[in-house]
Amino acid sequence: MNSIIALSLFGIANLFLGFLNNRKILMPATLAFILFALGLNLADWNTEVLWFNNMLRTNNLSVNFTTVILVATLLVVAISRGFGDDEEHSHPAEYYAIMLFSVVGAIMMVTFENLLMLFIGLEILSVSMYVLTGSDKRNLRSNEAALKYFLMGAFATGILLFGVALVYGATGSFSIYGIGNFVTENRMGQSEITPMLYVGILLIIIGLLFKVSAAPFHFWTPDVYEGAPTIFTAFMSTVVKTAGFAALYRLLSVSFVGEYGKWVYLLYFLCAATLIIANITAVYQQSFKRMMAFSSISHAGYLLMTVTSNQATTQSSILFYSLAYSIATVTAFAVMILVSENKTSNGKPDESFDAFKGLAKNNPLLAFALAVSMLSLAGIPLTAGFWGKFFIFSDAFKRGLILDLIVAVLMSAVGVYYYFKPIIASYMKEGNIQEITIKPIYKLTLIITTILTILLGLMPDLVKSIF
Amino acid sequence: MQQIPDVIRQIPLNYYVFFSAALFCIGVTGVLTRRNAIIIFMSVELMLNAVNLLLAAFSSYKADPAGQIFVFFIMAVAAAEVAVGLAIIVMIYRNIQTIDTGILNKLKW
Amino acid sequence: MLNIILIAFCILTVGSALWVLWTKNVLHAAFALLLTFLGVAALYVMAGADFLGITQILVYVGGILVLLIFGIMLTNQAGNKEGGKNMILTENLNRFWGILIAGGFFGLLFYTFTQAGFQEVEQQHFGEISNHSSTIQITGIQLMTDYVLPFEIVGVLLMIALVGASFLASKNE
Repeated sequence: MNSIIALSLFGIANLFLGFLNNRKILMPATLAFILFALGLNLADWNTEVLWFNNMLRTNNLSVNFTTVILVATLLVVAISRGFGDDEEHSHPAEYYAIMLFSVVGAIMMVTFENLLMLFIGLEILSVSMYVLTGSDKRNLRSNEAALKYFLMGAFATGILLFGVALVYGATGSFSIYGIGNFVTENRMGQSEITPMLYVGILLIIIGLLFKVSAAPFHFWTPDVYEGAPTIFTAFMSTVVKTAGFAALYRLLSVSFVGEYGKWVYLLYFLCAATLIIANITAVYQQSFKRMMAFSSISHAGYLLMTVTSNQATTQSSILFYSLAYSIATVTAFAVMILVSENKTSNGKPDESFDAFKGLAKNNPLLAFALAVSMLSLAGIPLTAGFWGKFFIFSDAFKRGLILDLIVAVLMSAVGVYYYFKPIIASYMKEGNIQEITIKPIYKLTLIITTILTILLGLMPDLVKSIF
Repeated sequence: MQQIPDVIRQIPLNYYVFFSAALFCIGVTGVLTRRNAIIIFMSVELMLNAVNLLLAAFSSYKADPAGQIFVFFIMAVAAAEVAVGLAIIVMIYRNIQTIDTGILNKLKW
Repeated sequence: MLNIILIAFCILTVGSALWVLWTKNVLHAAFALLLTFLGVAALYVMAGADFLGITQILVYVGGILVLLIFGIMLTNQAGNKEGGKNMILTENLNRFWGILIAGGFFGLLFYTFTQAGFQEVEQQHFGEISNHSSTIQITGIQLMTDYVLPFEIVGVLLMIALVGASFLASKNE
């Protein structure tokens, strides 16, 4: 709650900083703001507070999710070096302010106690993402991505809201515990639950799956991720996904847990479908950015698997996986931004795998960071991604989701193939990439994320014991 | 709203829910079949109106003001979305002089 | 009597919504949408949400619809590049699948609502009915007490919308 207030104020402060002629001050200021919010958030550790008549709840779970979101934002802001000194991006203050505001929405999505707060948080996050997606105004691809994201997002919101209305009609409450009590009590057998509740749950799940881009509601994702400016793609695929899954998990595990026997089948098959579609399609991609979009869909599939299993350990699995995935994704996009800006084809940044050819020769740090992040995304041992997948698989095993497990293991093997493409391109292929100059903060971010990935791979208990 | 409003006693709730369902499905059809971005957006507004009416009707029948408050927030959010959406549409129009989604195929639709 | 008025408004609203769905002229669609919004406002009043009815007219008709018409006028000039059609007339695409999906969905909802047993809900609450009618007071009190946090946070959303819209729609410099 404190971090929400702080970030709203900092967003406005950022807009005012934009009036200064000195653009260089914006990024350090934003980093400081986020660090301050992170400190406020961590100060809430081990307190359990309900805010404003049961609108928000702060507890250790929400503190953990908020921390993951803020760390991901911090990393994304740290690699956003292009805003300040580039003529193309002439409104850095607006970008940073909207990013801070959108984090407010993301935090509301992990702390909500009332469906109204979930809805407003989701909309804050979505509306700011529409704007950021279209922020490259002269690029037609960015424009189209924004329009598509906007139309699909508004459609998904409509579906979600109809679900909320039906659940309200059936249970008479918007509070997630109120709904949960009603569902569980009726399950005990006082009265028959009307089918209205089931349709409501179905529509809410569909609306949220649209937002986290699970199949078959994923069709907008590759285009939007490819069209958006890369820095905001990184933001979208980390922060939005973490917040979306936190919201889905809280809703399913608190409100609708009494009907677990009903919705588990839906998620069971959607999870398998998501994994198959995303991984098979990713194999055929030529563009690195588009491959990362399908990769993000497939990670939504893995996360969906632990949500489906609904074990006591699910929340820590989601947290660990989101953290490992966010760090690796930001690293990969950071390297891609550097390489593709350095190497243009037809006047546009080259985003294909070929751009990485021969990267290791003159830029060993970049190649190493890329390799570690790809290995982590693929789930190779000694990286954080391995343990993320391990925890998720053990959850699913405990619940006995055999079909999902088989599919997930097979698709992880497929994933190794396409995640190795950029590694092979950078280490084994011949290419002519000159040494790329990297700013100190950018280099520092890359080093930190790489070390974190390996450290979490060697000692997962470091973080897992907290979650 | 401790009491149900007088007027609603004489009308079955069924009328409202079936009407809302019809309006919502018209909106869904519009989103799925129309090509013009502004009309797709109008269809989304129809969907939201259906949701609002459903919430208001449930709220009256349950004698619980929460549903009506929710409608207020949906209206506020819809207004914000319209502003951003039209800004995006105008931005695209400035670049290619059309908002026909069939022509927007740089990224396959 | 009340039922007949309600059904008349329902027919007006659904009819104009269908007009939005079928018309080829974007401007006609906007005017049909006006009728839909007005019909829904009347239905709010009949559902006992009088203040919502007023807000509906103010926000949807006065704000959103005007914005939409501005959008149509801004994007409706002759001379499309890349072979675009004249903007004011538009066509439909994959009509079959769209209607099939929406029709199936309507069937599902229809079944759901017939199973819901609303009659009982009404019976339970019939005792409490009084002649007290306006919802303005209770809505205002609720907004300022229980729902004050979302009320404040919506300000952040409007801020994003303002900054974002003015940024996106401004001319490229």
